[in-house]
Formats: sequence, C-alpha cells, structure tokens
Amino acid sequence: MDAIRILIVDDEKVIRDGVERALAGKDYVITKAESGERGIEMIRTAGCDILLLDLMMPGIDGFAVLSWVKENQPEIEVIVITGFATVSKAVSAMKQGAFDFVGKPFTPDYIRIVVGKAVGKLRLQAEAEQLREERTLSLAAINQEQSRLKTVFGCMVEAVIITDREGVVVHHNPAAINILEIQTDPVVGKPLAASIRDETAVEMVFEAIDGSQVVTREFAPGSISRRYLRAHCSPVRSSGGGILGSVTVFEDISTHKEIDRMKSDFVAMVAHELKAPLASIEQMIYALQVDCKYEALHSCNALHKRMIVRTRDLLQLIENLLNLSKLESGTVIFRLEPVQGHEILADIIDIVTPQVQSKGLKLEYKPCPHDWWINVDYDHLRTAFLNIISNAVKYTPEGGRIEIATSLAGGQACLVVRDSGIGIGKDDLPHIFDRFFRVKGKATRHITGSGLGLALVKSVVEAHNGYIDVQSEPGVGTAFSLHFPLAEVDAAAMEKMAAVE
Amino acid sequence: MADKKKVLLVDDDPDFVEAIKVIVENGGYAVRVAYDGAEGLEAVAEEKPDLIVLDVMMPVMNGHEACAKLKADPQTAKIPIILLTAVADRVTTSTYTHRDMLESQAEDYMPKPVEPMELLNLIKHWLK
Repeated sequence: MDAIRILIVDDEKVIRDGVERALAGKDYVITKAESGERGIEMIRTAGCDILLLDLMMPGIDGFAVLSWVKENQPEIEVIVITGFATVSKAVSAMKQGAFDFVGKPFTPDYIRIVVGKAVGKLRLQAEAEQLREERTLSLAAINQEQSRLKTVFGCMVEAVIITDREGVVVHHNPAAINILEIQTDPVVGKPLAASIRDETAVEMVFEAIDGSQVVTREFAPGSISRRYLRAHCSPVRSSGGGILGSVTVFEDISTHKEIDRMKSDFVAMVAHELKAPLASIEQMIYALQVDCKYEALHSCNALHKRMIVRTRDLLQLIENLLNLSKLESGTVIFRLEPVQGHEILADIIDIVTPQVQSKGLKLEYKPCPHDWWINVDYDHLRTAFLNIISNAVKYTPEGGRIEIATSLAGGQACLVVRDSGIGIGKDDLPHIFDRFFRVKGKATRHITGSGLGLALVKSVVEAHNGYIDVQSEPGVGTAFSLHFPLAEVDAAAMEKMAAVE
Repeated sequence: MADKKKVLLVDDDPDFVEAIKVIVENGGYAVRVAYDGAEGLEAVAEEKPDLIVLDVMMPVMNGHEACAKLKADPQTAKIPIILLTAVADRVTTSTYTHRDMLESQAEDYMPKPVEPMELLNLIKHWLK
C-alpha cells in the first residue's frame, strides 16, 4: 500500500503545525489547508486517505466539509478536531460518519494513536479488498483455463488419448476417433487394447508408464489406421512423483511421408537423367582412345560431334531443371510488359528457319490480321514459344510441314502450332507435361531432349494466366494450342506505337 | 574381309552403341547394331552373329529377357553373350542385382562404361 496521505484542515496555524509535527517521522504524506473551502479543493485535486478536520472554522465549517466528504469521497477516514467544550459536536460528527475525534488541547501521542488507528483500518480495508480481488481473479482464471483447455483439446488436429496406469482410457479428444479410426463405443472406461488393435501401440503406452519415460513410435498405414502416424507417449506423474497414467499424442504424418517419397523419387529420377547422358559421354571418350585412322576416322569425328551435343544437352537439362525449380518454388519474378504477339513469333521463326530448311520442312505462318498484345515477361514467353515450335521441328520427319497460326477470340489470344510429325500415342498424351517424361520408341530414339521442356512451358503459360492444350494422333501429327488473356493496351499507346511504325 | 567375326551390339542409347561399335570394329570385327531386346532377337533371326554384347537396362525387352530367350532356343543357345550393366543401375534400381547377373545364362558380364581393351579381350576369349 502506498504512503498514507493525510490532510489537515484547521483555521489555526498552531494546530496545523502541531499536528504535522506530531505525525512527522512516520511514512505519511502530509498536506495542510487553512479553511474548509481550501480543504475540499485539495481533496478534489490531490485526494487524501485521512482527513484531520477542525469542526469550528469560519466560512464552510467542519460539518459541511464532513458531509461533503461522506457524500463525495466516503472512503476517506475523517478524524474531527474539536474543543472539549464542544464534545457533543464531536459525537454528532461521529454519527455523521467521522472515524474518531481529538479534543483540543491534545498531546502529540494522542494524535499519533488516533491517526494510527485510522491507518490500521485503512490498511485492513485495502488488504481485504486486495484479497477479494485476487480471489475473483483466480476464480475467473480457473474457469477460463478449464474452458480454454477444453477448447484446445477439442480443436487439436492431433489425436490425444489419456489412460490411467492400467492402460484404461480415461479421456480422448474428438480427433482421436477420426485419426485412429476407432470403432469402439464408448472408448472411455475400456482398456486401450479394446479400441486400438495394434499391439505395439498398447506396448508403447505400457513402456511409457512402466519405464516412466517418453516413448516415440511411428505407425505405418495399416497398423492402427490408414494414415501414417507418429505417436509421442508420455507418462503422467502426480505431484508426489507416482505415475498416474499416460498421455499419447498421435500425429498424422501421411503428408510428410508422401512429400518425402516424392522428393526421393524426384532425386532418383534427376540422378538417372543426369547419369545416362554422362555414361554415354564417358563411353564415347573411351572409344576415342582407339586409333582414329583410316576407316575409323569418320566414326571418330561423328563421336566427337555427339559428345558435344550430349554435353550441351546435359547443360540444357540442368538449366531447365533450375528454371523449373525456380518457377515451381515461386521465386521467379515476372517482369510483365505489353508484348506484341507478332513480334515474338517473327523472332522465333527466324531462329528455327535454318533447322527447318536443313530438314526440308515447310513452315507456314498464318498470323491473324490484327495486331495483338499480351501482358507477359518477354524472355520467359519467348522461351516457351521457342520450346513448342522447336519441338514441332524436332519431331517432324524430313519433308513434313509445320503451321503456326494465331487468332483472337473472347479477349484471348490463341497460338496454334500444328505439325505433321510422328504424333503422340493415347497412353503417352496425358504424361507429356510431366517432368522427365519422354516418349520412348523407334521414332524418338535419335531425338535427344531433357523431358523438361513441356513441363517448363506449362509452368510459364500458367504463370501468365494462360492455358495449354494438345491434340495428337500418331503418324498424323500434333497440335499444341496456347491461350493467353489479351492485354488492354490503352488507345493512346496504340496510336503512339502506330505513329512510330 | 569375308572371314570377319560378326558381333551384335544391343543398347538403347544410340551414342553408346556408336561408341562401342567404334571400339569393336577397331578390334577387327564386323558389327551390327540393335536398339532394344526385341530388335536384337530380330537381328539374330536374320543373321546369326558369332557373339552378342547385350545391355541389361532397355525398354521394350530388357537384356535379361532377351538373354533368356536366346539361351532357350537351341538355334541360338550356343552364341556367347556378354551382358553390359551400369553399376549405378544395380544400386538405384532393385530390379538388377549382382545375383541376377550370376543367375543369368550369359557367358560373361561387364560393367558400363566399358574399357575398350577389356571388352576386346573378353570378345576374343569367347570367340576362341
């Protein structure tokens, strides 16, 4: 409790100072007022705990001050100071709620005793108040704690099962029924073995209870439920140290396991895809250890060329892999800008023309009659388009034809790349966008590729809110169609562009 | 030279086939190639080789299958077969193990990549 604030209100300075002296040295904060008005004002502004009040004052007298205090600040203890001639007034002041009175003249001791009593009363009151508050608070806390625990318990994703030391279930949360796929009803009051028909799970609980230690186990699908579970079983001790029972938390880790498996598969696949070309390159290096003279010279030159091609493919594969992983992790920042569709395609056609000519293919470009714009990252989209068009060149036998056409409809731009190539079989078609998928067969044997190109294209197209579609018939050809939302290029920019052109 | 011994090479990687072909041709043999087990059997049916170098990991029909078929046919059972196996394949895929190699009826086997002199020595040995 803070220091007791005492206000002395008396019109006689001698009394004020006398009282102050008597109370000096104690842990009181003492203020003084020379009139009733001033006293009330000081109570109003600064407040006080004990008021020493002279009854007989000019202006507002002690009774008026007392009744003001009792009405406005009843918690203040008032001790009235009065002459012996007017003890009857003191009595009526007490009746009005004063705590005690001091008759003038008084000894310092007497003042100290009376004030001490008032202080004692105040302290008791404060303590009682504090106790009451604490009790109310802790009751509220207990209520809250219980309902909080209940809520947490009920909302937990993990299954929780509490048993006594004999392994009889005393409590469980709703998730337990679901995750552990328990069909026993009720679960509570029966041995754990009645609800979980997995011996190792029951053993785990007894191991925790008997060994007084935390036991962690994993349960493969099919043992307890269809999920992959990880369980932590802890013994519960009483405050005396004895074992009361156990708490087991079952966590569904199926998703973790699945992701783990996918990761391992992927790593194995990447390792294989990297290893195969390297093994070939290594064998070619071995082969070149033989004398490259006479009739072997031609073969040696061919091997040299193939080693370069395979090495370049390998680098491209790693590059694609990195790009794909960046795209899939979402760390690629696309710098979107309005790009003219015709421009991007003309550029790509220039790039593939030498290959088209060397294979004797016929490439036909049928652009739509209007200019069209898409809001894309130029480099990424160019790579995607190039991928699709070079695939058409790669998988179309000599003398075949490739048609590139664009059209606009429903706020979308559509690019169709159609070839008269080897086509894709029905069984393979659903997989062509899978990573590392390559159609294997006689026709594709001599065509190299990473099996990542189309996976990349799909990621890029979808990142631009577009979609990709494929139609194919073996021996007839394949058509890829890519759709993108058209960019809304404002009229002013269009005019500016037109003016420049 | 008409008296050159004929070796059939079967592997699904064209570059690997080309590399082995250079090595074997350089050793003085006539080489024919095929790119999977089934093609290999066709080639044998067309023209019986003196020896077959057969890769284990192949699509359509793998080396073990092709080997078993050749050994089951009295017409071809006598043709020596050298199986080629990538060491890493045996580690990463449980399909092919060392025991498989021992249990197969192939005359010999070699890990990939193939060291030229070792392969030529082996071919020479089985063509004796």
